[in-house]
Amino acid sequence: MLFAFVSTAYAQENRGLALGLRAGTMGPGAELMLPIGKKLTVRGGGTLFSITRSRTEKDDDIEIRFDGDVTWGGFRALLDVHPFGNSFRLTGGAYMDQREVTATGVPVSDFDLDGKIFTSDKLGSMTAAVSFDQSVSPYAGIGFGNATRGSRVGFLLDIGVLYQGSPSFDMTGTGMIAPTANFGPTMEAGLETFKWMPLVSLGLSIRLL
Amino acid sequence: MGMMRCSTMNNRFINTISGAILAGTLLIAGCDFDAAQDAFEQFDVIIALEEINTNVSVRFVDAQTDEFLNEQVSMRFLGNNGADVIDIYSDPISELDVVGGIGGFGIKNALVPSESNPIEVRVVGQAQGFETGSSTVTISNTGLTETTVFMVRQNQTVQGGASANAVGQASGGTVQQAVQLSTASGDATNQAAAAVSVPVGTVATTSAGQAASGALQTSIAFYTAPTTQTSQAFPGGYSGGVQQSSGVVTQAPITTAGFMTVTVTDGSGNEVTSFSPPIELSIDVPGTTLNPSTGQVIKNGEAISIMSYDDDGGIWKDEGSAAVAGPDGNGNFRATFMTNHLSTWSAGYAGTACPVVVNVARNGNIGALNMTAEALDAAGGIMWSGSRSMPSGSSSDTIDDFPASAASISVSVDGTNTVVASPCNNTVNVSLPAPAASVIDVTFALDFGPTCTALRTTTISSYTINYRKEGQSALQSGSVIVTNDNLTHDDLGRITGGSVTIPGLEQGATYIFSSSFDGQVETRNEVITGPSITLDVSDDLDGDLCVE
Repeated sequence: MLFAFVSTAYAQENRGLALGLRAGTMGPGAELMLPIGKKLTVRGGGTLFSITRSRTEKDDDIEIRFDGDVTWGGFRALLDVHPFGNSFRLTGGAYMDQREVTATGVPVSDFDLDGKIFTSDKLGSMTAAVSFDQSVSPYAGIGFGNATRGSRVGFLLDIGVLYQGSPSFDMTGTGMIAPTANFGPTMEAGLETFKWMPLVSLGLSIRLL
Repeated sequence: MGMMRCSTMNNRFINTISGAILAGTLLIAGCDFDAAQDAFEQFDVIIALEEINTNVSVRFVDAQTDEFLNEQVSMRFLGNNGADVIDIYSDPISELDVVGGIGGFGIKNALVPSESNPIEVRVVGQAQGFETGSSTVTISNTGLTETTVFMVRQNQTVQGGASANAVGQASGGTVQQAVQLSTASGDATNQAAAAVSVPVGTVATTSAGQAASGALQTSIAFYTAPTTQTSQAFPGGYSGGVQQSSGVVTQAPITTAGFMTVTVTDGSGNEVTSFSPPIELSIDVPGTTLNPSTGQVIKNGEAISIMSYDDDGGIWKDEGSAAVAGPDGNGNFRATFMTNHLSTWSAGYAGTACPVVVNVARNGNIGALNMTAEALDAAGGIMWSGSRSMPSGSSSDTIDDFPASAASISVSVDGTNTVVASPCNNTVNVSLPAPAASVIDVTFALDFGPTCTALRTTTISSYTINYRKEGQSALQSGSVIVTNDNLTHDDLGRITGGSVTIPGLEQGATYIFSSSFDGQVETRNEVITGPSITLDVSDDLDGDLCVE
């Protein structure tokens, strides 16, 4: 219904530069949209998203506090094609951004190994980071809404997928649990097929000119 | 109509395309969530342990039976490098409980022992119902060094010794009924005896500092030293040095002509440890005892050193000397002295040392060899003994702490005895009989069990395997240590298995294997069926170490 509504509301003629404000799986962001033809619009913008979470997990009698940071953001350049002249669009382009998830695990309890008590300070810590080596990631998707035409204020909806390549999983460790970092390649192999990242965003657009 | 149909088709097309792309996007085609889940489920903490370069295996042996001690032993570490002892986790330790008669410890890797700069640790063992035992181990190389601590049951003596019991009476800390106790002369091999006298009026105090009261149960365990077993019962060994009254330890080989343990308990079962005025103790020494001052057998009126054994420190303390009187009808001399405390007491000497080289013609015996050397007096009585292991591949050893006063040396290498007179600065050549044709080298694969896929550690330190042929005593056992070179690891660095080769085992014979790890001993019998045998060590390294 929403798709149909947006499509119907879409005006037919080109207008001018518009500003979009979005929120989605890539976090909040802004972009500028400029029509370059009757059915083409170029978009450029950026997003920045960062969140920190902490939680404590118990793994085989070791209580470990994990402090995780999710950071992603950067710039994107996209081309919208409105094949039917309405609000529906096919979108392609590229993201030039950084996506990284880091987590630091610090034992917060003593560890009893066969009766031998290791104090948490002696156990050390470990850090894991999931990152993507590609600096430029191609994007393809669909969307609804075109701020450069029709109403001055409109809705934007984008659904697409980003090819980010296989993630890298790097682990480091200190102290007695340092060899735990050897699990890095195993974890990376487990995530090898995660080359595609779904993106969904909703936003509002305001035509400036 | 045409426009409307086209628009409707467009909307259908849009919806179809939208649905397909949306579904494809959200499903993230190609992402293997199971693989990711498997990877995360495999995640486990791996503990890094340091490989310890210098290790000591300690055998706690019942002096009466020559078998491993079944009782729990509290092992303490003293001596010059007692503070450098570490456990399997490389943590400094001052004591470690041992079950099964085999214990082990490591030395900090920062210390590298050598012949010119050896490491010395005094191992003190205490077990319920046993006298305190100790042994000073001198470590002159990395790898594995073995030592033996003989443990003697309280109030019992070994073959060749004698014991006696008596009851006195005390009230309010004062002895009301005297104790006059002596072992019977005929009990000991050389007809010698030992005696204690606690006269009426003596103030007796318990180890807790309280006045002794009630029946004074008094016992003597007396050991003369003419037999191997009585010499083994000598607590602390003969090479730990003597602590002077100043606290300084003089490194000198201790010889004994006789020693006794006196125990007194009061009516409440408390040990009575001090007396005022001092009480009288007597020890008979054989007339064949050599006086190192004269180089001759002892004579009436000559001084003999008196030493007491410090249970806490596991070391002999100088208590002065006594003039011997005799000989009696059995040819023995009596050393009588006064003391205000009870302990194990020895009459003997702390003399000078001389080196004796032992060369062994192996004649095909390729495994580790157990060697025991005994210093003999003029009549062949044992006045000193020492044991050590000759590693596989070695065929010569030098006994540096052999007492210079000895008339001869008796060397036993894996049961082959050789006696040489005037051994100081001399060489003892021992020729072993050729081994049985069925002796082979055996490689043991270490099997952690079907449920244990790996150990969550990178190495296992101070893991030793003691082995002996069925029917042989603990003293005839050998040991190997499992090092990192013996282990196999997976890609994560975890231990998945290993193997260790023991040379010189008799094919077809049954061997007893006792593996020691972190104070625990697991024992199993294996028939030597061939050069490759799987050794189930799942009970040794179970628990949290295993990743199942």
